[in-house]
Amino acid sequence: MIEIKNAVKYFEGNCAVNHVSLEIPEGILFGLLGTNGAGKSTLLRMMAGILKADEGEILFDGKSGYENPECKAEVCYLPDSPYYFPNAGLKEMARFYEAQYPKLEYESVRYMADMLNLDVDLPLRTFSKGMKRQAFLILALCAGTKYLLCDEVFDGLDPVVTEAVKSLFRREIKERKFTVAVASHKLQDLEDICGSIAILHKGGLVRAGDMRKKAENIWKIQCVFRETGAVEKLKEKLEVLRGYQDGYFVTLLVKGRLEEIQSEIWKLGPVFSGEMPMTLEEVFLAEMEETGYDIRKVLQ
Amino acid sequence: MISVKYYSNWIKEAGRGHLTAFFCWGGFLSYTVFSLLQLGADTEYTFFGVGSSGLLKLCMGLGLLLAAAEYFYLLQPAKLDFYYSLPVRRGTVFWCRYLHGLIHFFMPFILSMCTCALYESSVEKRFLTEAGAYTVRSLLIFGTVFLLFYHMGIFVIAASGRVVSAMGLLAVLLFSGQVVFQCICAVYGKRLFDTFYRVPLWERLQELLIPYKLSGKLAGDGIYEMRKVWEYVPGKGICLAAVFWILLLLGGNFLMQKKRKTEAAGRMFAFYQVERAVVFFVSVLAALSAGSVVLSVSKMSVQGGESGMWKPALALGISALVAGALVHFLQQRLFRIPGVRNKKRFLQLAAEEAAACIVIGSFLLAAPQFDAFLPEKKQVEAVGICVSGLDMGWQEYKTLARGEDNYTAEEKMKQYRFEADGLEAGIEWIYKLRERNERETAEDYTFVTVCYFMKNGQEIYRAYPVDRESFHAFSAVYESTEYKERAYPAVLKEEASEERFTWSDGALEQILRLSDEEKEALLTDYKKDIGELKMADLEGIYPCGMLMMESQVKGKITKAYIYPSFVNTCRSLKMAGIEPDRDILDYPAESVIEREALEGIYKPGSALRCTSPEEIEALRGRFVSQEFDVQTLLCPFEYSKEAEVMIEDPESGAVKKIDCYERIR
Repeated sequence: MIEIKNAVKYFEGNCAVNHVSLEIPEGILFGLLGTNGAGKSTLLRMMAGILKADEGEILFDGKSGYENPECKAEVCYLPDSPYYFPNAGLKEMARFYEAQYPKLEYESVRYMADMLNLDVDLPLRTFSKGMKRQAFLILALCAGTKYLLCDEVFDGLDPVVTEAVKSLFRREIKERKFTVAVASHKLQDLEDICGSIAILHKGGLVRAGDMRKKAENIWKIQCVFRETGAVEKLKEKLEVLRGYQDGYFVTLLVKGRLEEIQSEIWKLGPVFSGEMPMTLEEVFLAEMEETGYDIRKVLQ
Repeated sequence: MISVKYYSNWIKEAGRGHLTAFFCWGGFLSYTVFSLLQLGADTEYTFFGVGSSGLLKLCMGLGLLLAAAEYFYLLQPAKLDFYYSLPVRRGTVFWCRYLHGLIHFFMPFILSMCTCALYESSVEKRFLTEAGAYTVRSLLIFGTVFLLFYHMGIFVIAASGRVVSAMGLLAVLLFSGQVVFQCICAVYGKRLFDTFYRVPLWERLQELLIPYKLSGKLAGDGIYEMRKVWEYVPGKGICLAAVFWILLLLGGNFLMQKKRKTEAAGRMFAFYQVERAVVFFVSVLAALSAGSVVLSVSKMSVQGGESGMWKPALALGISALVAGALVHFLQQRLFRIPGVRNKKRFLQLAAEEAAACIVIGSFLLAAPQFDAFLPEKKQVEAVGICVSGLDMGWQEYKTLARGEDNYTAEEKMKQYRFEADGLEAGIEWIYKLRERNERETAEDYTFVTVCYFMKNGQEIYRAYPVDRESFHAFSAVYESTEYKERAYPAVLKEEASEERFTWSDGALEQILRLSDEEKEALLTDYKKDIGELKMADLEGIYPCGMLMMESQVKGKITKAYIYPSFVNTCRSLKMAGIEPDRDILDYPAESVIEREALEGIYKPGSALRCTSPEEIEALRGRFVSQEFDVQTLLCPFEYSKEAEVMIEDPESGAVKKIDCYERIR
């Protein structure tokens, strides 16, 4: 388990990570969501032991990873733009990683590279952005570490490869309790794979955890009324987090018991009323608006 | 075990630094080939180790280049993220690279030195006995030079976050000492201290504080004599200074490696303290340098004691304050770190300005004391005196300037170093000179540069203005036995039989066929003439010739200028068949070209060529060979008029060109 306890990081007087506390359980894919400058990459770098926390601590299975090679041998970090030696190919990088991560086997790298049609001998500098990312994902997955920290991992990957990578993650998570922390500024990237998500904004943690669980008593309801003004009437009686009206068509995000909500809606005599499934984004919107936070500032 | 494993991995990783290998192996291969070629041609003045300025530059350069090649990652955020994310300690990465650099330097270096030593031993038999010690000394000395620059290179990179700031910091470390001593201390000394010549302590500090000067001193740079180079061992002080610097920088590197944050890459400086120190130091230097410029441009000096001090004090103070503030704000702009309070910045500016003012104030306040310094006789072991224009020709005289460090003055002070009656007379003369300087404001005629060799081992230098009367009063020193021995070293010769006497009249040379007795008689006569010589005798009298005594055993040549007033010597010379009063135009002359010259440059259109016997005859007695210009003040020539006299050697018929000055009529 990764425990982030009250982590703080300042850059030249600016607070990049502001008292963030998180727990990332084992065997899940955890998403770190936020706009540019929210502090997700800084938090990932702190977790990877690259940056030292000015306050607080980050523990992997109870041990600090900073300047602790034994602990870091179980953590692999994949940055937004991975570094590789000049003129080095995947083969050479794999040999280097092999020396750093004892569980890495070159043959597995070669096998996965063949699957993704990557030439291990070609210099990485000749690869496209997506190919480089695939190459480093192969290294990261083959490193055999317990934890993988990825920054904007799906950026630059085409939909087919994105799906392939996601299924690889799922397989590894299932097979060996692999824990992946992924930072992204796109909610769509994480929607179908992340069990838990943390939202960062201006260095602070806005929300974290399994959002669907947290949104268990929030409902998305779509109705059609014969007259306008239904939203205002419902707001008086129900805890409406968000309500849109487009002519006679109304979409509501309401908190409460479903039966009570439906009963109040039917009292207004709608032509149609039905519960709709919520996207992760809507779950967030609901969660955030419940706390009075302007989520548009966080999600772009 | 883990540690061993990581180190071995990281040594291999550091091995990716092909640049390091290329620089070192390539550099030493080239150096070895070049040295072997040179040693094949000459072993007298070619040195592959100590005494080689090429090796010195190579080691200094490699030190910096290797530091840059090995530690450039500290300035690259992406590379830092990569290395620091791996399961390895930062210290492992840092020190493995350090070791990698050392290995790649010392392996080819040792090979190169051994190859050169073997080769020189095979071609130079005299080197055989010295080869081992010389090679080991060279390895130790140049290894130390390399370490000094290697550590310095690592230091500047570790303390900086960008290439530009690393270069700036390196420049500060390399050149600030030179700025302090040569652009600030020397200028302030010359302009503010009336009797300033040089301060040996400053020179010593330069050797110890300026890295390349320290390295040069350590490596015996500037020594050219084979035997001296082979046996050269640097002084204890220099060795200690080098070791001190190496350890200090190593300690600094160790601390910075521990404390340096990853996010430092990309900032100007990795540490706030380094930034503050650089801003402080550079601002103070700028403030003081501005004062130097003001002093140099305005030719301002402290005269008239404390009352004359306010003007330079004001000018220096204002220039220093303005320049210091400008440079401070400029640096602040360049290095600005958000989040640091302005109050602190202003406090630092105030501290910088205060430091500059304190230094300027110290110079101004020290000036009267400096100029008033006169040692007590009992404290002085010896005194070296160089009176500008006395016992020197025009060419030497014009290179001298009061307060300027000069080779001629140094050589003269070495030559005229008095410890016996010369010391007594010299100190007495200086006392009177200083008394006169303080009492009267007579016009400066010339100046004297003095070195007091104190009994405590100190050397204290001063330059005093000399008026005409004091110059003539110098005769008391001139006529001392010690002075004459230094000025006319032929008087020290005890035996003349081993000498070969040659007479030169400025045009041609003639070997004297003398028996041992005649030689002894000639030397005795010369000694007698010198013994009776008064300084006043030399006024307005040009030498009529020069007697050269060449030792048949040692080969050393002693020159003795002969004046017409040397009655005894001239009589002996006449007996040997020499005409001491022969004019240059007594020889058959082909032509005489007269030119007007100013500061060594001929005035265009001033040349006048005389070729007819009548014209040449009219010039008789006007020209003297430039070789005989030995008393610029006592017996000057018309230095603005030079002549080329073409004479014919009556014996061989060869034509010879004689450069002459015109006598003052």
